[in-house]
Amino acid sequence: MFFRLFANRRLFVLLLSVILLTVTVGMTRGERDSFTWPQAIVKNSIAFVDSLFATPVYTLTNWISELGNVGKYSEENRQLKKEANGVQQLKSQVATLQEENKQLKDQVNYVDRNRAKTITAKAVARTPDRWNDRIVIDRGTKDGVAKDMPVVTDKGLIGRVKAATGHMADVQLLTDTGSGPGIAAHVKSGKEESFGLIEGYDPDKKRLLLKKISPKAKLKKGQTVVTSGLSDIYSGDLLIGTVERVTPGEFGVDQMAYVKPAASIEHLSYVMVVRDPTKLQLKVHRKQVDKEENKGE
Amino acid sequence: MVFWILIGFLSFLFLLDGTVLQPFLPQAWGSDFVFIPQLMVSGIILLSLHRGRRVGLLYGFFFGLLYDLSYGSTIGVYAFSTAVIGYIAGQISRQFVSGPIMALLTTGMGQAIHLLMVYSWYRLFELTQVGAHDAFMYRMFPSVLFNTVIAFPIYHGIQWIFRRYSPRFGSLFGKR
Repeated sequence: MFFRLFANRRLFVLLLSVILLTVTVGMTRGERDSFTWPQAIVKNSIAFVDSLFATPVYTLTNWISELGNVGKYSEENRQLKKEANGVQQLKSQVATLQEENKQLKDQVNYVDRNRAKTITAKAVARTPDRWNDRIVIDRGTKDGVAKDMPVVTDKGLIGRVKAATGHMADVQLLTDTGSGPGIAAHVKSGKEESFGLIEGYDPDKKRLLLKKISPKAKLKKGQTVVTSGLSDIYSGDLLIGTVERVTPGEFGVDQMAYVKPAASIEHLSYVMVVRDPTKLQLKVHRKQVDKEENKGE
Repeated sequence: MVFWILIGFLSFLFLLDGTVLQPFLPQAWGSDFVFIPQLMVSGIILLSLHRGRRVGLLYGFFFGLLYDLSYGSTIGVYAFSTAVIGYIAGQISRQFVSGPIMALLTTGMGQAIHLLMVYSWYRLFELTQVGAHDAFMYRMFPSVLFNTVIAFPIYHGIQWIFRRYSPRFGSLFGKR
């Protein structure tokens, strides 16, 4: 009976390939620190060809959307002119304050060398199937991008680097957070800071879910949500969005808030990767500590 | 010669999926409907109709693997599904009478099976969080329609390639 199975070659091959599929998926799914070299080569070269395709497309789409916005721009222009007067005043104030700040910093010998830098990258491709929401950018480890760095646009946070090769990186967008680690965030609500974790995305309401907020925290609509500097991977104070609605949490002892994302992730062309030296140092330090602990055992 | 042209054509479709088509699809403009462009899969199906199941299986496997390597969150799902679709399309070409209508019907059905299969694998391995209702109504259904319509120029493209470079295999649902 067992040998009868082998007689039907097609069935045998099908079963074998299903087994093979489960094995390869099991081995390659989830978080991986680096790619194998054949995968890195394929990913790099596809990203390169993609970027050749992407540039003219972006020019075209930008042109089209500009065309549609002409009416809106003239209205905006009028408003901006009104605001500009106020801005001039602010500018002079800021200049004085900056000068003062600089002097004070110099006095306490504060060297701001750990300021986060951004690396601008072009989004060259997006996963055609939206089962996972990812984009491919054309900057990699050679340009200073590393795994777990946050990715932002001028409007706010959009995701994190899931994996990077020499000349490209995969970015996992916020809408895909269900499968990634949560983002430590805090809500700017007056004096006290309320912490929470961005875990998951509600596709129906198009809102991020901020969970595990302390029941004592009093959140209000319109308060801004930013990344917490205490997080291992995200540098602090990157804008995520605004609180829209607060509900009791799923465990009954906490609160949950719907957060309206500040950045639109529907159409992305240029993005910025935030390179925070403190987080990198932290990572290196962690690795060292782990190594020493393992040695002791 | 025809081999390299086919590879080039399918690679071109593959690149269109990820880059050129993305800004023009409804989801890029805030729609709830998600059109998943799978021109490459349509190409594999139509190629398999011309050249038979073995060729469909091989091309399907390699282009599926390419997809897995470049976009997929894991290796194997697309390679498996696309190879199976190539094989099924080749089987269909042996059973039914030929014609462009039949080719388009096969493409639509193949796309539906492919989408369903990839989604099921992704759900099984917990690689996606999209719910079943959402997946069927807002993603698969519009995607099948979209891909079937777009398959028409691809069908002509593949026929043109065969007529021009390999008249021996020019007839659809070729005799083996």
